[in-house]
Amino acid sequence: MKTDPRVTLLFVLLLSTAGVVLRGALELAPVLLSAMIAALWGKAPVGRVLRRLAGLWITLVSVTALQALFSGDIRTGLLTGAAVLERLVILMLGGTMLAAYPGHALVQAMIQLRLPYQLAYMVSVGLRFVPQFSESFKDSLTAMQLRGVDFRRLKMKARLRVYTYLLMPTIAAGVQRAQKLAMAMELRGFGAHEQRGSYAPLHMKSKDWLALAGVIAWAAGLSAIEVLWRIAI
Amino acid sequence: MTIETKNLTFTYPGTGFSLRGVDFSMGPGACAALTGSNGSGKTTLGKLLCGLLKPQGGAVLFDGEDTAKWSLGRRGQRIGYLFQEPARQLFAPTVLEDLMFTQELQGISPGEAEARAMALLARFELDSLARRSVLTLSRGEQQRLAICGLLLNKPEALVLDEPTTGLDARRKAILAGVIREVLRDGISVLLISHDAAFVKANAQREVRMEQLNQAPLASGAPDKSADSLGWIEGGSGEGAGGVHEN
Repeated sequence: MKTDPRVTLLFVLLLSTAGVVLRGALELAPVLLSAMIAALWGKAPVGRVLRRLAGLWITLVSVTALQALFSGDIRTGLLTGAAVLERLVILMLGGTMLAAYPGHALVQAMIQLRLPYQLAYMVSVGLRFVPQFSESFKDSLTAMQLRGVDFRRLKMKARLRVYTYLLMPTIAAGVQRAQKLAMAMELRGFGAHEQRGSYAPLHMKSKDWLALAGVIAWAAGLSAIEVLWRIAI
Repeated sequence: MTIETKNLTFTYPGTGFSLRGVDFSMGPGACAALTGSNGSGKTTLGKLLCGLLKPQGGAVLFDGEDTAKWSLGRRGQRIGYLFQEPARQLFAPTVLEDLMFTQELQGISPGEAEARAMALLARFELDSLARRSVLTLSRGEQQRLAICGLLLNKPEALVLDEPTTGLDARRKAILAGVIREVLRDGISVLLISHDAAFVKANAQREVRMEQLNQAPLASGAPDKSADSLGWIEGGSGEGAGGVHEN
């Protein structure tokens, strides 16, 4: 049984904040470790996400290598590159943890965290657009190739130009889909009443309270270590 | 160009839908129609022919040559695919630019590219819209522009996937004119359509997908015994569904 999504939302928020605020590879290491443990414990679909993002790994490693190359001496460079990679993996794991919940559970969690319903719903809808954007981009890429554009034969400058052209149908399809969705929501009376009920309100159980205490303790511990670390250096 | 499939097999993972043992052929300059119930695999076969999907068995042959190792770019030089949603294959902000940029990428000078583009636009009655945004075109106009984009490569065959969807009678008549124009250039056309009247008026032959696919029915899949349009080419046995036009 999964932890209450509100606890996971709080943990992901703290995790992402730590991932962005902390700078060094060594400082980020315990955050990354925590993210990995939490993702495995929460049965997040890590394997599936990693497989889907297979192509991204080349980019990640390239970014790391570039960071290492342009950051002065090799040791500093490698540590900076490692920090970039750690940060990206932390953010990705955070997203993966949320992906383990159905959309309606996340919306419900945000509502019970006092976020306005419209905003919560839009966040959930926005997340659903990500795979559609990806699919639309792939379709356009294919359609472009079928118009006789052979990517392997293009020089880098021409290839970059082609990518800018690919954005247009992708964005246009996204906007059109959003317009249709907005119209459909209006027709179904979205936001017609000030008061709303919930079909499945969330209830914190004892294990959720325990998990919440764990998250708070983790955040406090991490902050304490960070303060002591900074004092020490 | 002769297009053939030999014992073509394809399965969508996790859906139970599959194509098996599909043998199909279409000769040069033919206009054939691929018909069948929803989910019978018409679009899947069209995509397999154009390389949008990779077969798990069998082969797609162009003039007898196996296309398995061809890049999409190379296939695009021989065969064009019109998507159900033509806006997917329009890329530039304006009508004219959409026809020019692929030519420029192929090293054609801007002057020559514009001349070729304008000639095609005039042929398909789109020249007055040359400076218009592609996003403000009607569906029929987007479709004709997408076909112009495909014709720039001088393909030998076109696959048109449900080209009459969302078109009124007048626009269907314009599309029929476009198809006649394309056929006049010796380009083969494979129409994937549900539109019985349009198929009957424009295709020389009709092939029902249910007769091509040898895969057993998956639950929820269309019934192979569904009523046909009444003038089906081919039948059971060897060469079923073959459309040979010479």
